[in-house]
Amino acid sequence: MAVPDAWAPPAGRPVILPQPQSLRWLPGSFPLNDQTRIVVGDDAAAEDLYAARDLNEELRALTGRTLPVVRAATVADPRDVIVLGEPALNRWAEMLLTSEGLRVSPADPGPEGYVLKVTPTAVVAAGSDRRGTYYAVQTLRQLLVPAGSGFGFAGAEVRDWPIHRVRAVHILLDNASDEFHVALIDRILSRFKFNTIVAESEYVRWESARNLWHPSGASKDEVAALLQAAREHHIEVIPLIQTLGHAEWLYNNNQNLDLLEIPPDQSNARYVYNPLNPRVYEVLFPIFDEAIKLFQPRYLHIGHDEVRNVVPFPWSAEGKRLGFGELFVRDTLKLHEFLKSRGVGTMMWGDVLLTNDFAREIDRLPRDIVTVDWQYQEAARYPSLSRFVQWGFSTIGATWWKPQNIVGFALEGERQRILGMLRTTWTGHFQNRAVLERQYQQIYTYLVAAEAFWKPPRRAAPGQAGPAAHADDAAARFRREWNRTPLRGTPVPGFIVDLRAAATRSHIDETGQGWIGKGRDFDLRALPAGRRRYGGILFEVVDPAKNQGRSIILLRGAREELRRLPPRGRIVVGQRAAVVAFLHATPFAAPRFGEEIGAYTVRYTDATQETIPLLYKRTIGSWLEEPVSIDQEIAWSGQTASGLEVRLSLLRWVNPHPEKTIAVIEVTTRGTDATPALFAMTLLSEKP
Amino acid sequence: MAIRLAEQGVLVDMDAAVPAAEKKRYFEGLWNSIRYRGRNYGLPWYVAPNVLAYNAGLYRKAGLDPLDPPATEDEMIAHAKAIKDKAKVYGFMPNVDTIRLLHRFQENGLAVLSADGKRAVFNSPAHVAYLAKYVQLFKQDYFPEDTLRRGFLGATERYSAGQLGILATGPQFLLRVKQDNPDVYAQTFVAPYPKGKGNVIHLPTMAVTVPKASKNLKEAVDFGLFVTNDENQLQFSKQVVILPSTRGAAANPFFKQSGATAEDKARKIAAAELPFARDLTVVVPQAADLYRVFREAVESAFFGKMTPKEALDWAVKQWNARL
Repeated sequence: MAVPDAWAPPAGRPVILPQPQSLRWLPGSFPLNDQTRIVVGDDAAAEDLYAARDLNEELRALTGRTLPVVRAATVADPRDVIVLGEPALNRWAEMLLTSEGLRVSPADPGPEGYVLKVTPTAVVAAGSDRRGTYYAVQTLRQLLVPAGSGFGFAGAEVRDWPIHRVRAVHILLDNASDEFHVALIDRILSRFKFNTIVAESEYVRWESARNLWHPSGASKDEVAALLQAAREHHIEVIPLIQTLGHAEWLYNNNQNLDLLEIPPDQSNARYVYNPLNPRVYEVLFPIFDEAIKLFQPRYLHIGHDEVRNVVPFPWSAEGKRLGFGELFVRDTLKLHEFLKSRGVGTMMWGDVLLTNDFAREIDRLPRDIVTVDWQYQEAARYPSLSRFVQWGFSTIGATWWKPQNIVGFALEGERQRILGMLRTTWTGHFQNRAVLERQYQQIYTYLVAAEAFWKPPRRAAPGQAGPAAHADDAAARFRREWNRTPLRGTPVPGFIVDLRAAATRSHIDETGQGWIGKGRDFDLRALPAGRRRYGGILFEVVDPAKNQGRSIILLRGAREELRRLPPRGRIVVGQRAAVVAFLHATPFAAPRFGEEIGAYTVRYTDATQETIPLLYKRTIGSWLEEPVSIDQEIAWSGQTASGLEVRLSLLRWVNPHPEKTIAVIEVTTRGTDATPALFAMTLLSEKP
Repeated sequence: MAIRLAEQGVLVDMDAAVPAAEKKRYFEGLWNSIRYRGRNYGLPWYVAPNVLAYNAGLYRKAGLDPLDPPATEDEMIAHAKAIKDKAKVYGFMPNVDTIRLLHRFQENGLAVLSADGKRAVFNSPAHVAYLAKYVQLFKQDYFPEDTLRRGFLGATERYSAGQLGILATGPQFLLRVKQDNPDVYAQTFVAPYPKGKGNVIHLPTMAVTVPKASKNLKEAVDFGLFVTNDENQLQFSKQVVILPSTRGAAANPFFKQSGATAEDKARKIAAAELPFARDLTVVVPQAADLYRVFREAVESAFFGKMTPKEALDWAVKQWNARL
């Protein structure tokens, strides 16, 4: 059936992430027109102009235009202006704030805080400091909406500041970092107000250790590109070089085997070095010096975690005589002393300090060391933090990617008033080229961290409070921000394909004969029948009660419950389309990522055809599994009657022959456990 | 691991590749332990049932008799509590982390799957009570937090440092204790692993598998048969404290000899455990997903995200949707 709005722009107000401390929506919007200018302070330095640059990049990507950037002195009338800057540096900011009865000073809202006001005549984005102004603009970017026949910023008044001073992401550098991580900084990290990166740098191609070079290691030029991007987005970068434990990198290319704690003829494990061997530091310190010269960091993170996890340590007779604690402290003090002589602070993981056999040594560690307490479990409380606080260390809490871990730990960090929070990324070394395609969950949950580190949700159920707290929402938002497709304010007409004649089974299982044959507790009754919009596209899910108990095209699978289903489905279309959108899932998982589990074949009236392979966890996924690839778009998520989180994927296929009429679309299966189930299909007449 | 690879269809079917006469050399139960959807995908290599190693010095400090080791799991818990209360170090690091809890369930006569294998049943009141018992011990600080993070590696490390009273472990790890800390090793007594109500104990089985992608399939299988033949397994068993998977090697008098060292005693104890030892690995489709779910459930219970009942109920639902 033809519909005028097969695709429609998002309804309602924009979702700001992280949620501001205080937000009041105002009527109307600030329209962008030919007179609109960005006004910066008369003495604005290059660093002050990053905010204006980001705003214009946003406008270029989403609206196709940019705005002139002018100095305050050239503006006579504060109309059609977007005023950026701290009040002391931009008189129009001072004037507009005063006229609105708003106040901004270095102490109010405080470091990195800002006030943003959008009215129909002017926008003022004013920070307590330079970063505050920058973050005001990051919020403003998220207010961009279609307005009338053009674009504008939604009316709002925001007063905002961060809870955690350090809001960091941990990354592993490799030779894709200048591309992937630079894009990450530009599109995600700065936009969502992260201010620190902890960059694992041991595989950087250090000149002082050419014998350790790895073919996929980052060059210093590649790191320099990343550092410049970070600086230009107000992000501090702290290099991390693993020492003592996790020192595999030190033995790359079979080098430095004399530094091993366990001699190579006694163990294949290359993990810990012998801190009693002075040559260890002859190798390490030149690398530290190079890192300091390249990064110009305030801190260098020396690792020092999981020292005893892989091999026995100490191993040597002398090491055993001294004991683990003594060796750990000696090595830490040696590295700390060296870094201090270079004016650089020491940061280190905290796990070893929490172990019983280290209790006696704590007092010997300088309290200017910043400890990073990593806790990756989803827990009700994180009691370890208070131990670091009681010991007198400045401490950062480090999470992994699970939303409840991130939110719960950030809350505990707020209670303990620690220095800040770090979201770690454990994809393995040299994976940056593939991480979005293979380990997306580790990346899109940066948005959960962005929210929790800026303003930890207050509700009792952590992980369920904010706009990014639900993982599927975060995945969708990340994809949108990463792809940055142009904004469109008008709907796209199209055609809703009728699946009734081709349906093979019901997605609702009253009798043990529907969906996967496991009854009402394990079916998809939460998915509403009828027309609903998912990912902006209008779909129609057939009501099985009105179609002889059938609503979806589920094909034959290897499981007993699915063996009597047909191996193919045929859907009559008879329409042209620029985009074909499929709402689908598999009832069970495939064992291999990217495995082809079936296909859609698009047959045109001129007897030609196109095939769309269905690749597991890329273009289709199990209803029970979280997505691991940015390619797998989640369209709908809900819960079974038994409380399980379930989801359907959306595949948007761009038709290479929009001028041809599609006669039929066939669905086929490979007949494995992961057989395709098609829930709805819609055609768009043009690409939104 | 072998089962997960078998599910992905990347391993050679050993039922087809190995002649019947060769198959008969292995214990039948071990040959069947690497079976997925009716076919065997590995050559059983060596096995190592758990034994109990315990620190006699810490036992004495706690007022316990080192010559009276725990015969049951509840006795082991009582001893561990006494060590923590009186000797002021942790008594044990129970093997209840991750999917190892599935083995403990079975050792205690608590089924994981229904008889037809189509439903998960590990959320009965008895299962919940078993998990709740350990959650309570954890809350009372009777075992350390890294039990859940570092498993047997952390336990071996703590025991070697003299910071753990009882170590339930494969006998091969005694050599690591010997290497790490001769003083602790000298205090180490060995006893049988306490049997539960199931009258069975888990028998971790190492296997040799051959990828289908191997360029020289027959030679690879032959090499696997060579590595696991009677002679090589016997020689290997003399190097480290493990037990062989072939009848011929196991029949050697070496495994019945006792000796003065802890590892000699452990070998004899482990060999005596074999009649009631079985690989309790739960073989299910989508094993990676199901194990992940179970691991998350166990962690949720221990770290207070869910009650033990909520955690097991949730995991059972997740399993039942996938089985």
